[in-house]
Amino acid sequence: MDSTARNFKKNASGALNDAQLQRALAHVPRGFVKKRQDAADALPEFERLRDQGRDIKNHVLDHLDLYLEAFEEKVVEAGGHVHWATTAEEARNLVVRLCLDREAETVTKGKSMISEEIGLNAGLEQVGIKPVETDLGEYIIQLRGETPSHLIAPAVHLNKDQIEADFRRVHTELPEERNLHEPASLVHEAREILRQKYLDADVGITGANFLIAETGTSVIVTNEGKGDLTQILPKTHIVIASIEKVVPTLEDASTLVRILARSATGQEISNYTTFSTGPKRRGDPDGPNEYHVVLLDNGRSSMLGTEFQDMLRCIRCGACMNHCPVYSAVGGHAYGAVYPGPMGSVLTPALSSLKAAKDLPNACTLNGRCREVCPVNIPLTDMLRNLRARQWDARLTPPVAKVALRGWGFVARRPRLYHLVAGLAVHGMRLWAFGHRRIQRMPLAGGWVRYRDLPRPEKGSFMQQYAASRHAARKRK
Amino acid sequence: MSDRAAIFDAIRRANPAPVLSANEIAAQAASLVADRAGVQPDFGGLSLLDRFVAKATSERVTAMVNRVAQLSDVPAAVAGYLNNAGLTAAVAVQNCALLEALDWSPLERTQALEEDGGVAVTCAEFGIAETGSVVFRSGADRPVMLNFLPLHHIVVLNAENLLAYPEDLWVHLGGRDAPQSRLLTIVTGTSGTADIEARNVRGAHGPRHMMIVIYGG
Repeated sequence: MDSTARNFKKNASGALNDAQLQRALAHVPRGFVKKRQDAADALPEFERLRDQGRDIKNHVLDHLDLYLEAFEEKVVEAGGHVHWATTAEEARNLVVRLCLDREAETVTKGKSMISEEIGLNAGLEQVGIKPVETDLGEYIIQLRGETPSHLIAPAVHLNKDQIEADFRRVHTELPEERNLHEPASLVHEAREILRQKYLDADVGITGANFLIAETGTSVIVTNEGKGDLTQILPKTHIVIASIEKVVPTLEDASTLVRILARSATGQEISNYTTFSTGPKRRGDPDGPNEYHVVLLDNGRSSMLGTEFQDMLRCIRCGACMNHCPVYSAVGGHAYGAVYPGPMGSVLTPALSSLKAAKDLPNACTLNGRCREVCPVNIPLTDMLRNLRARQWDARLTPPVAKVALRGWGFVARRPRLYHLVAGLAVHGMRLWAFGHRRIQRMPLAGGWVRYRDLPRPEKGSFMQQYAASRHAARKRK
Repeated sequence: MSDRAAIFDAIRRANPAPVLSANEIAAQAASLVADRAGVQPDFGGLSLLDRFVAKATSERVTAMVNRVAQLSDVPAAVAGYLNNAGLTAAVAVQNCALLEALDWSPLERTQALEEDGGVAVTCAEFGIAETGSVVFRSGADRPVMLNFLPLHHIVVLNAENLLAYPEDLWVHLGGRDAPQSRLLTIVTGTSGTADIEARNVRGAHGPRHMMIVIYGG
């Protein structure tokens, strides 16, 4: 996917003024935030789980090469194939070639953010293969030609009347007078349409939430069962996953599944937790004849050993963006990258470049809710702060901000000068208020005062008032 | 350099060679998840069966549970479900040894589920009490498609096969050294989605209704 992260400011402006989007985003607090809190409250061991999740992931990252080797060995032992790709382009080409060699006409897809990262759908369409998204959210945005705006709820930026309009526009074979008022009717229509596509598919492509090294198993966690129908019915099953998805054992996967479901949707476990190992066994009445795992690096190995290594712990639950006030205000598309929200603001510059994504680390109030809810304790705010420091060193900070920060730094290092300037500023603002209790216009702060009024300051800065009261106290003695 | 070699090269440059042996690394990994009491929830005195039923019928799982005395009572329970739901369709019964041995004569059987809207009866190998889940594995006598295709899914479970936690599965199945089946699925209730305005709807692609018939115990 081509990143438009450099347009964040423009995108965010547009998003704030988009009434449809604002209406849709209002569902996030009720849907995700409350459910996660309920699940966390219901489990006294929740914090312990977060620590275990962090420890498991850290352990894997310390021995990533060994676990990847073990995983590959076990996949091959079970009759599967493993393919390696250093770049997004290589991964895309690998998958397209696998499909072409099998003369695939249609390919069903479960949900996979890696497939977004490598631009898989475009690659398949270019060679005349039709990819069909089966995750309901992904299906909806595929109809609209959009990209996902959230890690686990790709269509969270849409309202149901928008979805109804798209269904009516595309599903022309169905009767016009049908009732699509309720979400249930939309879901059932999608079920109907997609059922035949599942049965017709030549190849099924899924992602993987985890890859288990000790057994060569890929794990997917879904609520719809789309990943299961995608991987059982066609003759070939392709798994695409990034290298940091590997975990040592079945127990580790079980622990991480506990924390993933609770953090993502507030469930104790997702409706379908599926472990796939190799192709179908001799005598199995159903299942694919071939099982391929495509492993993608795309910049992750260069994050190892740097201050961004912790970001590789991410298990893609989406909790950080659900709790982010910036994301809740502008939605995922404003970030202009594959991965939005707090985790995307760290991962995008880490995988691509700081220059291409320089607004993203600044799209943050550093309130820290994201790191409080991260199931694997990623210090997101520290990393965003590090990115800003790196920006400064690389001279990527915008000129106005640089001048302002330099100016403030100059004054702040000289306390008496600071007090003088503060006192003058307070005096100036009192005059500027023209006798009103509130200031509604202010040069150089237009962006701030457009939506807020400044209160007229008290007489004198704090230091001036403090000095005056001490002076008065001495005089009384 | 091949992609594979390049990736391993990059990883090894970042991580210095380990001073631990493979066994020590494995032991370290095992110690990280050894504290089970730390993360497995307590059942508050409930038996495995009671916890299972409570969770399976809960609002977030939405399955129905029907307890029968023995395995031979299962076909009658299925007939009862069809009656209550006003269904007259033929039933696809998974051709596993356990179900094949039963007398299905009161019902009409079909082999496959070409059209959507059907009913399937399948055998769950295990139940997980913690979450109200049932476990299916692929195998020579167990087509897994029947667990995902029908609209109504009737699951047959032996109460003796109830486990407390998902981790217990790995112990029972023999862990890493046992041959893995192609597919193992832990199913918790019916297929659902909240992709539209965060409202939960059932029957997204998989079954919309689930009834778990528990026998024995």
